Amino acid sequence: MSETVLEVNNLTASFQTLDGEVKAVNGISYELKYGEILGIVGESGSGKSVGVMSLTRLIPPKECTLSGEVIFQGENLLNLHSSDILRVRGDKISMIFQDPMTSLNPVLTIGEQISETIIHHKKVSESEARKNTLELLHLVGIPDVQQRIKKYPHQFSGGMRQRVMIAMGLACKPAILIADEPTTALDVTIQAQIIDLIKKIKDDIGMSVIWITHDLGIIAGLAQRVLVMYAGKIVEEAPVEELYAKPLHPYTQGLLNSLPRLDGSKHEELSPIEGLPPNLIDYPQKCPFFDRCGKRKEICSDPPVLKKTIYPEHLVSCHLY
Amino acid sequence: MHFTSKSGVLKSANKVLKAVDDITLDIEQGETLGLVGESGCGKSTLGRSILQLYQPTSGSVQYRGQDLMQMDRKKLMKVRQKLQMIFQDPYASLNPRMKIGEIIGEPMLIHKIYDKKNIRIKTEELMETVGLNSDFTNRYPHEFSGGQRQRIGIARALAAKPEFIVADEAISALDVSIQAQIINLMKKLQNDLGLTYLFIAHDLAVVRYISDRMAVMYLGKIVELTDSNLIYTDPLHPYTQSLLSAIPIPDPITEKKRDASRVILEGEVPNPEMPPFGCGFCTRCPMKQDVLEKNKINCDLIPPVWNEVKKGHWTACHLYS
Repeated sequence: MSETVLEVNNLTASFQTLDGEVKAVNGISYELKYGEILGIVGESGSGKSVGVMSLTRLIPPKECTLSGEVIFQGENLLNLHSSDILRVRGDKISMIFQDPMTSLNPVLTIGEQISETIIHHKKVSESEARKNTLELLHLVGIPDVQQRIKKYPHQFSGGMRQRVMIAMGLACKPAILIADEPTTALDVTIQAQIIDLIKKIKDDIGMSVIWITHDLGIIAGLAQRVLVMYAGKIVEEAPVEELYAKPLHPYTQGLLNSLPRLDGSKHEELSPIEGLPPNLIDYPQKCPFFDRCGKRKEICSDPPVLKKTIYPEHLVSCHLY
Repeated sequence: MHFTSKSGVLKSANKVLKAVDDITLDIEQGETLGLVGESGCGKSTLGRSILQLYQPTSGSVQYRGQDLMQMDRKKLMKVRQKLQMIFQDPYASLNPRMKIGEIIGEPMLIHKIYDKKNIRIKTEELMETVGLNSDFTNRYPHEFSGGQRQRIGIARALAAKPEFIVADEAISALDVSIQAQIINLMKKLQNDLGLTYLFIAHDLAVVRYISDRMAVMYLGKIVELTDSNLIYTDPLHPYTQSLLSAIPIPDPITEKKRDASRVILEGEVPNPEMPPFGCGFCTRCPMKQDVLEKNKINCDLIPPVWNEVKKGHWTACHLYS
């Protein structure tokens, strides 16, 4: 099925700082389809985390002003009353984060934390919730579930804590799971286990996944479609094979060229992208990649727009096209 | 440079943790030896033990034929000039209360490399060498980005005019596009200054790219050591094989092909306070059963011997006993 599950239109997340306004997310639009894994790739400061946290309004409104639309099941989540968004979070759209040690409650057992979500959203009894929790822990590959359910987060290793977080994320069988760098802090062999787990579960539950990372290797093996973010904007969007085979935006090209590859030649020099990402305070209206782009032209001082190219489903935001 | 039979032990209550267990290693002048392994394998401890930042429990560390562990403080201080380190955390490894000119100049002062009046000039030269603007000597670390701070760390390491540098996860905390800049810089410096590196990291692709030879560590021991290309084309140890299998390659078509033969390890690294009797990897090794049937060796009980299985290719594994 290729029906749309989430539609994001011109989403902007802006922070007022002492020095000026920062648009961490600056007018992004995309769709998430049923059952797909959408990868969002970007480096620090690209706006990828703020972008997904904005979907369920996780950043306090006093700090961050949102505009645009996030359409989910016929409603614009940005217009929902604050008590109504609580219905959606954890139940229909849930999120797992990078560092499970700081995102799990240290004073509750993992059983209590998972059951808490289930009881709150599904209004079932404690014993019913406990039964579900045991099943979930088993599903995510935690051994000795009867014993482990009584333990606290600090008694688990990093990989295990992440599995607990995934169990929490899946507890209410959400339509969308947002995973924000969930394996960055994990060892590579544990990362492989977690990725494998998410792939299997996604199909069992019929879930769509948004996976955020800076790791172009993970995205290659996991996502069906990819958004590349830079300085708060989407600079390129394509099906995964297209993106790696024919990257169009100079930033995407630069990123792919700067990676040492296990299967690559050791003797070619890496081509890094020179310079640094721009300071977003009161950033002028020009292409955000202007200062670092080897291919810039005069017209690039006007902001480019994300639009279609001759390749199907491949969009890029760049005056070269 | 020659290091033999070293053990570093961290005592906790009545238990003994062999962080680094009986490692013998030679590093040749001008080479880059890469050291990889996942968290807790002992690689950072090994790097620090070699430089005597931790006092190794036993063994010897010979630099140009002289054992660092037998030296008195004064002599060690003198030799230390030649042995420097670049640290992982660009935020924690620079004194926040010192200007960067002072940070970089400090080793020159301590080791009396230049007169006070020349230190300033030499500091500025070094900054230019590592790609920093020499006008910034009076700025503080917090005024720089992660990548720039890492360059400051490199300049500081170079200030002492070393011959040997331990780079302990020197680029792991940096964005991908910045990593490439630093890798290129380190390679250039090695060429220009004739440096020898011990490059410690968990990212195999990066380590393979920058290293001549590579050592893989697991649970305090080195399990494989060979030329860095061979580690990829002909990995002998089952742990190395599963590590390589777990590393995502930024190419969707390659990733799909690899899915069929991927080795996903079960379980986690054993508690280093209670390592297995036999081979450290026996709790997770996919080849254990094969070895029992074909070679009639029980990996749980008998530790494997470190052996040169092929020319220049060492491993400790009963598959090759």
